[in-house]
This record gives sequence, structure tokens and C-alpha cells, in this order.
Amino acid sequence: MKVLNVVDDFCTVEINGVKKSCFIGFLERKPEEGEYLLVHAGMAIKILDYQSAQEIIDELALLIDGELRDSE
Amino acid sequence: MNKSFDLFKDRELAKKLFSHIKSKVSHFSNLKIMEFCGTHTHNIFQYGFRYAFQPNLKFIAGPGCPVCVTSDNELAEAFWLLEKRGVGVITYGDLLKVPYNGKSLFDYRSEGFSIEIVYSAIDALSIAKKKSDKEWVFLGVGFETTIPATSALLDLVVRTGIKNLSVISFHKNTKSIISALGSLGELRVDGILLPGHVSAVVGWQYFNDINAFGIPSVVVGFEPLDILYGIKELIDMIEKGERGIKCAYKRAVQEEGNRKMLDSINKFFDVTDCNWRGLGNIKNGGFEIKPEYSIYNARKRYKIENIEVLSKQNQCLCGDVLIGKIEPIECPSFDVLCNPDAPLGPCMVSHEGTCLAYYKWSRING
Ligand code: SF4
Repeated sequence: MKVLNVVDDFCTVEINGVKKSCFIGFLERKPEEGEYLLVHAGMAIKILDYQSAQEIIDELALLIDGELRDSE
Repeated sequence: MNKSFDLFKDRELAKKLFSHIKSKVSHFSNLKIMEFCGTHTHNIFQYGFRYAFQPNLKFIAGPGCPVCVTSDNELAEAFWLLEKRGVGVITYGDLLKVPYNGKSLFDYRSEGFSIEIVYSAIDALSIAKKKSDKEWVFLGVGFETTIPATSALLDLVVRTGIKNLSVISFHKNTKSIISALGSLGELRVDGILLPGHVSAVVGWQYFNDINAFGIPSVVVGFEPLDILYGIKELIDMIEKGERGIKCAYKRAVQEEGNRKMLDSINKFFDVTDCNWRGLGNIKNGGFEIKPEYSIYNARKRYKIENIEVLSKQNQCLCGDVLIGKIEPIECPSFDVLCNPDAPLGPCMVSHEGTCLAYYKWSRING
């Protein structure tokens, strides 16, 4: 969910046009506007990092291509 | 749109991965993989994977629906609080329709009892503040993912000194249930997909006890590529005869979990024995508020003791569904006497319920 604004231990997040309030007191740092959070039942569990998500996808793509080549 | 999540919906990569898995599982006959988490059950249906690898691979839904495993004892406590103590009850929406002894919290609400629904536990504080002429009890339902929310509420209750709000814990311990299923001999599966969000809170080594049962397991996320990648990792482990736990959801899950959330759980809760629907009393199966915070514990505040639990009232087989013994379609009441508008059991009510998943997605997917 995307962070729209942060006030103290809460922030407003948005997903698919729906806005919700979210508790951020358990995060390792305060998120910034525009960052993405993993949220469960109104609690932010983790700040998600786009760059590392992209790296995971790239690695996965390489892994699959490699395995497909090996199995041919 | 959340670009982080969109990456894990990439169609081309998903197609490749899907056919790769399909060819891998073709070497097996009758592999069984249990998805512990109710959201995985729904997503595996929604993305069309549920029957895609049959007959070589079959998915078996596990007990990972917190509302579904909330026991009759706990519902009896909630009803007793309403009837005998006249308090108002605050909880998550899913619990409202769960029937016990022919009645649900929803029915109580229709009769004029005070029942409020919240999206997050913390919202209970503002309800209690706004409606201060009434005493309120928050029903804390859920696994380790929602316990920190209840801890945060308890922390606010302590700090604000609010007098008309207490908490009753129906929280369940996922670690103990996997061990319990193993000990009961109900883990007759070749591999387990472990819950991603619980693991994000507790860390992926939390489930190490599974090693005792020699079943490989993988922590999995919720997007199509997360699930496919998790399945592939699990099949690899099964192929190589590997045991242990792998994490296929590293963008969200760290080995040590979320330290602040774990500290908060440990501050307010003790692990305790607890009744699970379908499994009965499970050693260390739940979380109870620590004695030092007992004035905020509704069980203590309202002296809840030995409430009579009425025996099974209908033909619901949720207990067997929750441990993967039967599929919902094997229940004679499925789509005959039981449907989401007239549910006989919680598995047809909760958005994470297995029976609801079969009802909803079997229709959509044909
Ligand atoms: S279909 Fe209905 S009656 Fe049967 S197990 Fe599921 S919830 Fe219970």
C-alpha cells in the first residue's frame, strides 16, 4: 500500500483508490510519502523496497531461464 | 498502483514458471502440498493454480484461518459477555456471522446488543472514548500477524488510562498448531507452504519445529509469482529429498522477523494452552494477556469461568476441513444447506475460510 501522508505513529495509505489509516509504530523507521508498506489489519509490518523487489524478479527470471535451458 | 506488487504479477514470467512447474511435477504422482494460510487457499484458487497440476500435485488447505479456528468456547465467552455482563463488543467483521448454538454476533446486533466492527484493533480505543457510557470488550482474534495490533491497543489502553475498555484474547499460535498437526499424524503431506505475513512478523525460522516431521516447507508470499516460486522451491526440495525451511518471500520476510512487533507481543502476552476448532485443546496453542495486565483482561475483569459450551449443533464438518482431512465438497451440507448467506460453520463465513474459497472460486473458475 502506498503511503500518502504520515502523522506521528499513523499514516494514510492507498491501494486501488481506497484510503486507509495505518499504524506505523512497529516499523524500523518512519516511512516517507510515496513509499510502499506491507500492511495487515491496519498495522504496517514492513517498508517494501522497489529496488530489491526488482532485483528478486530479475534473479527469478535468470533462474527460470537457466533451469529451462538445463532441462532441454 | 503499487508497483512493488505489480512486479510479482508479470504474466510472461508467470507463464514460464507455470510450465516449468508443470513439467517438474509430471515426474510425480499424487504429490500433496498443504497451504497453511487461508489467504493462500483463496489466491491459489483465484490465480487458477488449484487444479492446474492435477493429478500429479494436489493442494490441501490447512488450518490458517483465524476466525475459522476460533472455538465454540470462545464464541460462548463473547455471547456471555453480551448477555450476562451487558458490555458492548468490538471486533473484526469476519467474526460476526460465525454461528454458535444457532446464533451469531450478527443476530445479537440485530436484537439491539452493542457490537461494533473495526478494521484495526486500535480503532477500538476511539469507539470506547466516543461511547463512554458503556463498557466495551475488544475480541482479539487472529494469528501472530494481528496480535501486535492487539498489543498496540493494550499499550494505548494502559497509557491513556481508559477505564471502559478491556480485551479478551482469542489469539492463536501458528507454531504450535503445525507441531500439533504433526504429532496427531494429520500432516500427511509432502510439503508445506508457510504463511508469508505471519513469517514477516515472527521470522521464517519460527516454524523450525516442522523439521521434526521431516516435511520440507517454504515461506511464500501472495502474488502469482510469489506462489509459483514457492511451489517451485518446494518441488525442488522434494525432488532432492531436502528437509528444512526455505524462504521464497524475502522482500517481506527476514529471518528474525519484526523485532518491535515481537517485543510488543512478548510484553503483553504469554503463550498458553488453547482450544482450536477441529483440534481441541492445543498445548501452547494460544496467547493470553500476562497476569500483570489482568485488569485489562476481560476474562479477569468480568470473572469468566467455566461457561457451559453446548455440544455440536449442526452437521458442520469445519473441524475436518481445517485439518485437511476432507475437502469442503465432501461435506454433505456444502452448497445444499450451507452457503455464504446461510453458513453453518465459520469456514463458509470468513474471507479466509476454505469452504468459502471452494464456493466462490469453483463457480468463477467453473
Ligand atoms: S460446507 Fe458448511 S457445513 Fe460443511 S464444513 Fe463447510 S462451513 Fe461446515
